[in-house]
Amino acid sequence: MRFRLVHKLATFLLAGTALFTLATAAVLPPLTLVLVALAFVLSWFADPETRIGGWFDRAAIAFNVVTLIFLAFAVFQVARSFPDVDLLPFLDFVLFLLVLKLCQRRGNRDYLQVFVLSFLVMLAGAWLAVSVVFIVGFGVYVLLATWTLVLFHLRREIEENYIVHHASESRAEQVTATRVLNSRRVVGLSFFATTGAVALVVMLGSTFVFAMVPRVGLGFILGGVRRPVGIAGFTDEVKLGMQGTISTDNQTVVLRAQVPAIAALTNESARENVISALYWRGTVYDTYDNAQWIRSREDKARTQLTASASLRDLSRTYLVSDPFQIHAPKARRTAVQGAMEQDLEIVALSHPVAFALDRPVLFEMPPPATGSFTAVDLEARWSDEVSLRMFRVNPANPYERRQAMTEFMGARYRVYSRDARGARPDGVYLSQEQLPQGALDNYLRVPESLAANVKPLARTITAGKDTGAAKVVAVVAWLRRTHGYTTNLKRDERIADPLEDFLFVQSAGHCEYFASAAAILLRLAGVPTRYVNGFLGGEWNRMRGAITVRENRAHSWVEAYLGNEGWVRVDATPPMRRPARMSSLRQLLDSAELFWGRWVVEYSASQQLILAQRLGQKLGFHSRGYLPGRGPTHLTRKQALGFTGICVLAIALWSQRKRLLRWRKRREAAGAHPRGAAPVYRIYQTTVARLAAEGLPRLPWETPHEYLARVRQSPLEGATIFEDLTQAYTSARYGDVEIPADTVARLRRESSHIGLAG
Amino acid sequence: MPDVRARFRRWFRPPRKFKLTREGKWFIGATLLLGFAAVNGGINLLFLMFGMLLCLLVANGVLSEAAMRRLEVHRHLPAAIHAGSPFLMGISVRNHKTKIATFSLEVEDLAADRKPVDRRCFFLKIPAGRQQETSYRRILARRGIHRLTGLRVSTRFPFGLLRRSIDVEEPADLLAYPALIPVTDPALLGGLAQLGEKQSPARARSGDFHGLRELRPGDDPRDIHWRTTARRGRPFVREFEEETGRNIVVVLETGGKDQTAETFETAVSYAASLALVLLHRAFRVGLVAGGSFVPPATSPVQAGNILRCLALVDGAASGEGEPPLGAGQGSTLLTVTPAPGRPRLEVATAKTTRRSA
Repeated sequence: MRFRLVHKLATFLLAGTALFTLATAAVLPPLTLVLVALAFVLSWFADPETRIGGWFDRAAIAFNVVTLIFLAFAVFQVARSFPDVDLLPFLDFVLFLLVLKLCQRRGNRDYLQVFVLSFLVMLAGAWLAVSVVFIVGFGVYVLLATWTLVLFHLRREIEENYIVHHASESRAEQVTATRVLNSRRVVGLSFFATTGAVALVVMLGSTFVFAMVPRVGLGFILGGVRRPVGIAGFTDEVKLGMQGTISTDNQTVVLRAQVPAIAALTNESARENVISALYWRGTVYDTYDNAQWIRSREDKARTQLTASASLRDLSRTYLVSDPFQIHAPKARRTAVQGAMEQDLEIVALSHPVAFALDRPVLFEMPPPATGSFTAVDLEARWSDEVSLRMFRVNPANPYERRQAMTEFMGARYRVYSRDARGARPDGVYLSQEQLPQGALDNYLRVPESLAANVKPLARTITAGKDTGAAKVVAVVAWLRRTHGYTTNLKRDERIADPLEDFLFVQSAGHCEYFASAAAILLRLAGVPTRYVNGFLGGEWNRMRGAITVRENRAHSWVEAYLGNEGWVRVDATPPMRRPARMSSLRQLLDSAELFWGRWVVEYSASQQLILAQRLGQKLGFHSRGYLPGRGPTHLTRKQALGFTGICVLAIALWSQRKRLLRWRKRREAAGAHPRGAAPVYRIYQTTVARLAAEGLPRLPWETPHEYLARVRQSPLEGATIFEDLTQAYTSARYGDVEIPADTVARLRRESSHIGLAG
Repeated sequence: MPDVRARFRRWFRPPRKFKLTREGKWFIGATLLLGFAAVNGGINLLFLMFGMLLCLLVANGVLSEAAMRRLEVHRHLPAAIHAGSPFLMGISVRNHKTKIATFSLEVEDLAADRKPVDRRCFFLKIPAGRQQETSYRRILARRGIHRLTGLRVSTRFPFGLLRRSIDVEEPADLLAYPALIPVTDPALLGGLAQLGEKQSPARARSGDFHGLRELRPGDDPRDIHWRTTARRGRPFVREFEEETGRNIVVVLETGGKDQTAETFETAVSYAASLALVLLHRAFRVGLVAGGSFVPPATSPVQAGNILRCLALVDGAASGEGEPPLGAGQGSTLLTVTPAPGRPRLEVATAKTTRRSA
């Protein structure tokens, strides 16, 4: 392929990869993406000699003006966003510049600018991305960046050496440069293979640097906190009457949970059944008004959390107590007895709710990662709802909270929950009559605007039912009998209240309508209810032994206060059978996402320590017990010194290998003798060295006999002895003759007399 | 002790030299900035990007080292160099590597002060196991010896972030002959032609046979030695010893009182140009300059002898412009004396006895 075309192709692929990686972060509006993609495709045809390229040349001034306006607008928007700086307008500007520069490619400098801009886009992708897809984009980007940089360098060298320097001298040189740029022989398959191998090494090196650079969040500028991205669309409001189709194919993962009790099940079918019936409780509302559910935020409804900190590992424990429970557990041991343990990982949510199965009784928040400058903690809300909140903390002391943050980037915690389906094993609750006056008023309130025919309907349905439980059964049965489930809502605009429309006109609705209808009908029948938003079920990932809950499992239900049974979950929505098992590919992707999230996106100093210890153990060293299940042992001083010594020696030998080779060659060339050579060698060499010092050096190309002949021409004392010595030396060295010991002794003795006369 | 110091210096002197390019400085700046942003924000994926930049920097060093390995560089000197005239200096590089090509290599000559000369040779690609030759154009401003100490081989491959170079010892002395200037004095040229014709109507074809040489433009076709031409496949001509009457000795006056460096250089150039014109006109030309004497001759190497002598002549050598005893006996003497404007030329016939000082 021609060099020029290769360079263009590599540059476009590089820019395309950067744009793709950014697109996977899902922060750009679809319109922006489409416009950028169109401009990107158009720019391929905007070579300087083409019509499109000429058009861009002619409109260069107009584009410069537009660029300035765009920059001013971006600066204005960023300035307006202070103090919560939003840098996305700058990203839009960079994207604009990138496609503009791709359209205005003229010289090598433009290609360099495209490279820099694509790198900025990639940085934005790194800043914003949370998906494992990033690593694919990164790998391709490293490969293409290596190629592009090399090609850019070669092109610059061609242009500098064939055009710039000789341009004034003759036109023929320019023709040569064009010929070289169009040559097919400059780069070939071996070139790409070699540079590809380099790119692979660069990628491995990047991973090494990534793992080894100490994670110490300093937060000098802008607080050092990444922008939360990948937010799942869990909303904090429930508004009925939103006409249209509810999407059920949103695959965004909201939470992942490891539930030992479920993992212990051996029957796959039983496990699927259990998982399908898991209710992940999230937000709770007590007031229905103007066709939407909200919180009354009354103090009496405030969730009661009792915090305690562990001195051992600095984790925090929160006991959730119910004011209506008689003999509520006060200690961790009694609270978790018989409760279902769950290890939850919540992804970034627009409204960070501390999800838990049914009725959570105890939360355990792990200590913040070492070196981190943010921490996640719990906050009490209302109606037994608990939320998560991020705080800025002092990295040296994670419990020195500085400021609550509006962002949320996910959290991991452990929670214990009890079943909320009916009779509780954990104690008895106060009956409605035993409760203080007005304690449950907010859960019995119905809007005044509610149609007059709703109350008679409630009475009709619950006629003859004395207990709360019986009324619940009646209402649920009526709703399921008269209404079907649909995500494709219909609406009669003549009826103002969508709930009334659902109850009296429509024959189908989704979970929000069923839950709302059940809550209101039960309230009208005198049963306190509250509306709950969360997720139903999940998918079992056998590879990880964990449950993954996606956004398409969002669900709404009701909790009704049934006297001594306390708050009981009531799900009026007709049951739907949805698969609770993942395909193998999805399990793999899910596991990759989990690994990516834990070991890349949230990689911390604590994990570095763990990694280093695991590596040390692989190498045969002993850990000091940071890893769970391993006793504290010590790396002995001797071992440490020995290991260090070997490393230093290896490095020294490696760095001096060339000198050693050269030294060995010199020795060989100089006729150095092997260890243990005959003593006559040493006598001869000593004598030659002495003669050299006296001004008769033996020349490198001289044989011993030639040297002897030359030395003899000088006034030499002991010439006969030197002759004998030379003869013995040549016999021993080249004739492999064993020189008798007495001869050697004589030569040693007499050789000291050899020297220049006078 | 100095020997120990020298060995110590040698030990620590790196075999290769590094120098960051402008792009390299920007690159390192960007790397540090990115590293700071990653540490500041604790953003892990930025650490990955930081690692990429860091590794690209390292890869740049390793690849440039690989590109410079097992190269053999040689310089090819031109046959003749005249001050002020461009010439081509040949450079050849052989890549002894068996698999990897070397890209983007630059070779520069190192002057006596070990600084590179102003021009360089560029090799875009030297395939594995191949040799490539190229040349660079250069002009030497002054005549005389120009010492070259070695060759500097450098590359910015692969990313242009740093320039890695190595100096190869290859000493050579360039002898720049004097600059040539046109000799257009019609009276002189006419007189010389007349002199030659008067004394030697048969021009240079009537003397003793001297030898054979290759045909040059302007040679008389009648001088072609057909047997040798047929044997060698190239045209050869016979050369004859010139007659004594066609002997001319160019005398360059040195050490004059009014002489300046500029006028002397002009005189040297004039003398050289005059000698070449005369040789071209088949005169036996000799030279006396600064105490040196080149006996008159017409052999092909005579031009080189005269130019070499003039390239090295020292203008400060005073009172030694006289020819040695017997020099140019019976020859026509053309004395070139440095003078402002253009050199002064005097024509005389040498006496058979030595002139007194």
